Amino acid sequence: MKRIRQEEENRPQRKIAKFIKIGAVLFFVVLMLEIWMTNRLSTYGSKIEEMKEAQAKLTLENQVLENQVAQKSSLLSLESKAGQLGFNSIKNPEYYHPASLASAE
Amino acid sequence: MRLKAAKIIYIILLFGIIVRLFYWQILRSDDLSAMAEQQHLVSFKLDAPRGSILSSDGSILVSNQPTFLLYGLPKVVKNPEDTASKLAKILVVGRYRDKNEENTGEINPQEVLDLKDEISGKLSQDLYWVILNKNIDLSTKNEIDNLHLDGIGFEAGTSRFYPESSSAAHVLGFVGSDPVGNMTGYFGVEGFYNGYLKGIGGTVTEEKDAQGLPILMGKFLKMDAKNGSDLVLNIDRSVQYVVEKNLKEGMQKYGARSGSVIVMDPKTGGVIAMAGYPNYDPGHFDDFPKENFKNPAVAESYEPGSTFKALVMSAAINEKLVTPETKCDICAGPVEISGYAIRTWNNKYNPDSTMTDVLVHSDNTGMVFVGRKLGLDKLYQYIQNFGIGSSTGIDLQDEESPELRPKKDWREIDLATATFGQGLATTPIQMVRAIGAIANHGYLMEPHIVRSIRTDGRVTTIKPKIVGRPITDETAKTVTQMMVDAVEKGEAKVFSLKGFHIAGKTGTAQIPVAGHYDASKTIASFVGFAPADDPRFVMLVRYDEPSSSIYGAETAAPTFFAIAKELLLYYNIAPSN
Repeated sequence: MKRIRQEEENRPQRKIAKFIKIGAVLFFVVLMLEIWMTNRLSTYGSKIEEMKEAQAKLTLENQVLENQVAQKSSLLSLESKAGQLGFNSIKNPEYYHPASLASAE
Repeated sequence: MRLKAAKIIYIILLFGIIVRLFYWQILRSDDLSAMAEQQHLVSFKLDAPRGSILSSDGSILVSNQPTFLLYGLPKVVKNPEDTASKLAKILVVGRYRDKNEENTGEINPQEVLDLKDEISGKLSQDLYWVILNKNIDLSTKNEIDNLHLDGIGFEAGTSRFYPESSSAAHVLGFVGSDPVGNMTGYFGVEGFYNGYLKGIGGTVTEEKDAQGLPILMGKFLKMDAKNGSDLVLNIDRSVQYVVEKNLKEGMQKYGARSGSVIVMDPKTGGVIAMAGYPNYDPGHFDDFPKENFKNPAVAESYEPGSTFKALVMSAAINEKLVTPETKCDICAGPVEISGYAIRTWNNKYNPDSTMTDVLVHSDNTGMVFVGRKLGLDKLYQYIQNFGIGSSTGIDLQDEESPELRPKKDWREIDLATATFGQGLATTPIQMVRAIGAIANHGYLMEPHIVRSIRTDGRVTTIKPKIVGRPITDETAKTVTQMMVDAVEKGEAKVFSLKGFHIAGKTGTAQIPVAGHYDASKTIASFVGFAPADDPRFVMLVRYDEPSSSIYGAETAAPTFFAIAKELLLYYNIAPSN
């Protein structure tokens, strides 16, 4: 009887101890995980710098290409190209009234 | 006993450590944190790109391009002569490319030699760092990079890029350094809208490791840069191109000292094209004299001459003092006023001229008749109502306005000469706006270059603004018909476009020089709108001191009709006959 009573008294204490042990293990695992992640990410600085440089380079190229498109579609450029292709400006357009045009009917 | 002593020593040592820890971690924590931050935290600016300027169809008129400053380290460069020689040739080729000149391989050797000497001189100085060249484009920078020269480096920057070259230079303005070295817009829309265009820079503060690389899990504070706003103009680049081409041809053909053209939508006040010569290249503004920077269309005043007659006639008709059929009873010969004789431009007189005839023949004596009918008070009021002598409020930095002389200073002769546009000054934009009221049912509009402003995806449209209504719709229609008759029957009729009803008026104003008028020097102009029944555009062409002929009918009018012909085709407007 006495032993059973002792066992029953010790049962809650054992549960608490069990939770503490599990908690400690979890805490240790999380801590190790964080240390591992921090350690791993600490070397990512160079990758960030590479990505920044790549972004800056692409932004620069994008701007240059946009300007090249604008230059090639400028009116001076188009006039020159049109001249090379044999286009001429309209000197004397002819106007037709719709009523004077032949009808399909 | 010894154990007790050991305990006491241990406690004292422990206490000492605690005190020291307290000192470093509590009392000195702020200082040490600040020192650590200085070592680990790095701040740098984020540049805000300046906004672009687009034409009405969304084409780029001004944008940004990457440019580089080339520097040298004289103490590192081993052979300045060799380095200078290699750099000079690449830089000269880069200059040709930048100025859109065709590089046919025939580079000016003297230019290369001069630049080589300049660079060599700089690299031979007893300095640590020297600027060798500025505003180098990306292609040139890459070519120099490929040489792998020691002691040569680049600093990145941006400059403005103009794909349409010097087109609309006076409208756009340019970007240069202010006294403290910041990039600022001057003249035109660059100056007027500088606050919108420049944007606001940002900053980034981040933790860096011993190698200077960012720490991902470290501190990171960012204030984003706010990009400059983009401006969409009312300027139609095709119309601008046509206007500039014809104006340039006219300047050469008529031997004018300067010239300007404005094309405006009379219904909205939107400026579709604006050109002035001599002009400049905003991308290389420092190669041009400063006098060229001012926009003659908004900043130069002139006496409008006979183009002003349309406004005075409008006033008299609006007051119902005359009609198009009213006959002039003083038009049989010169009119004497205060010892002066008012004559017609060709000394020909038409007794019993109607008011329409007065405009058709540009009869000064007929206008004196109209002026007397109006009287000084009413004439002065209408001049003010049409906006003459006051700024239009156009969104360009360089607008100036001559002041209208106070009414109390006007004498009888001033009333007479004002009726044919002499003795008072205006600017081209004021004249276009005023004539635009005749084309727009009597409504006077505020002229605008910018149509909308784009900021972070939001578009703010600048709405058309009515600033007054000097005349009624009925008056506007009546005067429009008189101006159509002036085109079809007047001195410029040989240049008018068959089949189209165009309202217009020639102007030949003598230029005041040292208190008197020089008969050989004139401002020749033509102002009008088309099609007369539903105007799509109002336009003013002005030549300053044309040498081939002093008359507006023989210089400005042909240019006006040449531009109008192309515009009517561009807008798909067929002849009414």
